[in-house]
Amino acid sequence: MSIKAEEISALIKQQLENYQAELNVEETGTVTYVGDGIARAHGLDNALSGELLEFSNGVYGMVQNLESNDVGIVIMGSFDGIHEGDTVKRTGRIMEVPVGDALIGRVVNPLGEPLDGNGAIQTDKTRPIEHKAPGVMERKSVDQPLQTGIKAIDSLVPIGRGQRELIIGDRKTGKTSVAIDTILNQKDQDMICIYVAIGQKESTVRTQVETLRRFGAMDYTIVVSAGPSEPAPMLYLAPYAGAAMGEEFMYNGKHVLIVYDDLTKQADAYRELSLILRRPPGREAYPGDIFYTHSRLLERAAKLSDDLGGGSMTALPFVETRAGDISAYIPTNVISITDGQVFLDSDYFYSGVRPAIDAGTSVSRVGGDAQIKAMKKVAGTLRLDLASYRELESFAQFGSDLDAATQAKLSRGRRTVEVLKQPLHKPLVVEHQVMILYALTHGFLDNVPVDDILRFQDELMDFVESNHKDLFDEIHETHDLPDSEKMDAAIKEFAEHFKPTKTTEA
Amino acid sequence: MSLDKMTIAKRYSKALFDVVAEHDQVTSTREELHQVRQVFLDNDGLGKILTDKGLKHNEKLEILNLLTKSASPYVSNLIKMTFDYGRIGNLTDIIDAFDDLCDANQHIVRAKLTTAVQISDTQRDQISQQFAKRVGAKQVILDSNIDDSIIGGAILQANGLIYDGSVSSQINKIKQMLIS
Repeated sequence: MSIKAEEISALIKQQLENYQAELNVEETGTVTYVGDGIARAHGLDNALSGELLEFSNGVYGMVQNLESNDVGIVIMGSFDGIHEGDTVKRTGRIMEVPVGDALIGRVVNPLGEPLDGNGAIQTDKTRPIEHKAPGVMERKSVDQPLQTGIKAIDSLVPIGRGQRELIIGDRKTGKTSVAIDTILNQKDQDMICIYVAIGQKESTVRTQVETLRRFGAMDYTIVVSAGPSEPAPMLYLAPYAGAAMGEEFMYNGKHVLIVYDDLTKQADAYRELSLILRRPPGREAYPGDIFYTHSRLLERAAKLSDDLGGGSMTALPFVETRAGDISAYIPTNVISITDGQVFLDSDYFYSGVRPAIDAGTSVSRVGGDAQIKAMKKVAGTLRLDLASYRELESFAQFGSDLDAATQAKLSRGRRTVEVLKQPLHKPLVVEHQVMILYALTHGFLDNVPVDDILRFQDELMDFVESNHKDLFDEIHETHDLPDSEKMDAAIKEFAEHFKPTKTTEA
Repeated sequence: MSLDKMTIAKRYSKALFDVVAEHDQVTSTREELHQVRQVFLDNDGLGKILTDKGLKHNEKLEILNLLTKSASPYVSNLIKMTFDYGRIGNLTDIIDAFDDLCDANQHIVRAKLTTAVQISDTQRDQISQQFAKRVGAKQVILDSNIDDSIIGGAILQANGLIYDGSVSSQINKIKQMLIS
């Protein structure tokens, strides 16, 4: 490529010819106070709430509080260079982030600036970060499944496209792993994933990005990261910026999965901001509008009507609990906003049940409509089996003389728990899930030792894949369960050749 | 919660202005208040010693009598009242706010003019007349200063608005236009 100097000078000449000198009228104010991430300014009489302001050192701020004599501003970026007495001017714009295909595969901060060192983001499209959620007539009920690839979720708490499903649990119970595995399973599913890391350690975010890259998931993923060293306004704005990026795809008829990891930290950042802005504190010192900050964010996840292209945005918000207390303020708020929750239990996690999903407290209020028929048929009794097993389990520890029916229930329960275990980063396609759950509910696993179940599952999949591929194809195409005789025959054929590692049952 | 000085100044000055405007004493009161302000500015900390506990009440009253001795009734009432309510420390703010009210009432706008070179009086008059027409004021009082970093043109600041006609900001604009 050669660039001619004349061409450039002609271009500049043309631009200069169009330039018109005009008087620049700006409304300004004076900074009277600067604190952690916020500033107050006197003047700016006509500033609007949410408007973008520019400080004299080039840093931007957003109007949050309009008071009788001054305005409260959150500073987006470094507040070190702002001093009392500096001028701050109105821009007349509201905050926007770049959106579009150029962001896919990138790691950006909440302002849409790249963090991955791969150069500038080439897009001229932007969207305001605060946007009204779609209304009643613009929506449609959830009817397509979002396959997480995790057996315990897809069978017990199915998630539909456009649903908001809360992932809740103590720290270190595998919340992030659930999200990463779900993102990995969206490969070739025509989905765009957005992972919003709020206050997550930079090293953790780096690890997650590497994991996504290793499995080829960065080809359809955007990572928005606001680290713990960023000022509080960035953490507060990160989920809204992520939602704006997702909306662009949703309104273009695409399917989006957005993960907010996690909203507890966003609530903490917003509490910090509100307290320094001198808004009155409420319960647990959170400001009065903490419910609204989360509800307006999660309401933006939607399944759009066919007139609007039928796109969807599925939200997986995370909330961290302390010592399993789901009745604290933020958890109860977010539980009431979302369409269900997946509760991760630390006791299960440490006893080796991973993912540590507590079937008793986890629900999905709308996902059932989106579950495929085949899955509905095999997973119907699963929840009941698990519940009665948990009930019997504690009771069975006391006595050894149990009748045959109880023994059978316990043995089935033990196998159910085992089947629902799944190693990290190994999502399972829905056909395979249906197959193993079919084997479980139809009693084919009752004679397999508990320790061999995961091996049985893997080998069964290989066997069916090579010898009875038509079964998988049928589930994949019709979404319905194939003829039970054919299924039984295939599993029986495999079970006869399966050799347990130990002859006696554990 | 205590009120901030801005709110206090607004309230007291509004009340004072209403009273003196009713009795047509705006101009004379204003001059008197300027003298009072000068006293407060010359004696740094005067407002503070009248509000804190350092002096006894009758000692404070003596100072107060000195201040109100030759004052007109409204001004002396203002001083006594602000003293009684513990707001005498805000007196200079109140006087400033009163000044602004008088200006607004007489349609006078005060503006700060920045130019790169010294300008002649006729140029100044032209600017102030043009600006008066633009903002709908009867009179514009310019406070001009010189800053050669703006290269050329002029910048006018008034009422929280900046009218920027400087060469430096236009060069910046062209720069932005060429970069993007």
